[in-house]
Amino acid sequence: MNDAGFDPRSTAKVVRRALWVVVCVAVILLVVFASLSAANFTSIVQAKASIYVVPRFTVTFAGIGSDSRVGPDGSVTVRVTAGVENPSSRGLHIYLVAFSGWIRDGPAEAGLNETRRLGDDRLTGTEGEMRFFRVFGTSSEPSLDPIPARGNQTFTFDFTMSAATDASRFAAVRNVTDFAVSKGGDAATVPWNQFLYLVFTIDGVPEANSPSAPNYLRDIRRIEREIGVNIAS
Amino acid sequence: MLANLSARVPRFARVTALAGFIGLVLGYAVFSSSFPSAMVPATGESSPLLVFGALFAAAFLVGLLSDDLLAGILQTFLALPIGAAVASLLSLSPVFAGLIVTRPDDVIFFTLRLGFPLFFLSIPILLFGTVFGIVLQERFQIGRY
Repeated sequence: MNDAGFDPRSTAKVVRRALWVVVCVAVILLVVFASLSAANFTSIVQAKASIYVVPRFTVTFAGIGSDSRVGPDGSVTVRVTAGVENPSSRGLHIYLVAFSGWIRDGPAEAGLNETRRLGDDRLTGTEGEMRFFRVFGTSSEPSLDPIPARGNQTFTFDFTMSAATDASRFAAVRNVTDFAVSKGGDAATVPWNQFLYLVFTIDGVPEANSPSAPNYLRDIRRIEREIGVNIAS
Repeated sequence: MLANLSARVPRFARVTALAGFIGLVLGYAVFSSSFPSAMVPATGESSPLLVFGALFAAAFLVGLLSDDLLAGILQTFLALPIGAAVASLLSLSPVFAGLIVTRPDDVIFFTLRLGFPLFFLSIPILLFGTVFGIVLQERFQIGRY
């Protein structure tokens, strides 16, 4: 102890003890935050791994005449019903919906339409190489209801085409269905190939905005699901 | 000899504890810079200034408590593998939860590869912070007694 009653030895001990307390508190905080971060990371990975989509595609034709042919004022509608099951603890939103629909091009396969025979997309199946005419090819970023954590949500998307919306493609669809009718079938029996691409975002996961951010930081909040075969060439 | 050894135990324990502390900060920093959007609180991208500031602050604190310069340097280099282990453990947390979505060694390699620049840059920052803490400790005689 010095003349002023100040004991540097005990002061140093107090300071050291206080510093150790600071280290201990910092360790506790780090462990807590690390545990929370690990749980957060796990929930993101769980959402990315576990979400699945149950799709249903329904094709309907309107304006079918008494001869079973689709009339010029008719239309074709593909209704896509996507049941999204989310077993994870994170809420989700649909960010992007992309849909492509092809109708099997009988006339092109029979060599009756050379332009489409060359331009059609191809799919190799049990019957060999098949040609499909692309009727729909669209994508949108809709504002839809969220998919709750540990819940599910069903979304319905209608894609309609008529002479008013796309005259040349609808003419091709009519040509294909007319060909089916001429072979003894009907419009509804013509096979389709559908491809649905959904992108979900995980709620509460911020997006990296800077242009220099690596791709994986942008992708970590997104979940992509593809249903069907994309035969676009 | 036994007395000599027992006298070294507290020093070894201090070095290990302080290295563990820096390793914990380093591992958390590596994980937060690799997966900032998975952190609590989550951010889109990590702030290098915040990460390096936290590393320097931790090293400075450790420097104030270090026995001497040799212990300080030893703690810094001992913290590197501890930090790598902490970052690996954090990035493997989904695997521990039973969500095996990829090979564990891929996750570790991915995290350490992303964190390599931080590991590399942390060495001078940790050394500087530790030495700065030791100098202040000597100046204010915190560790003299």
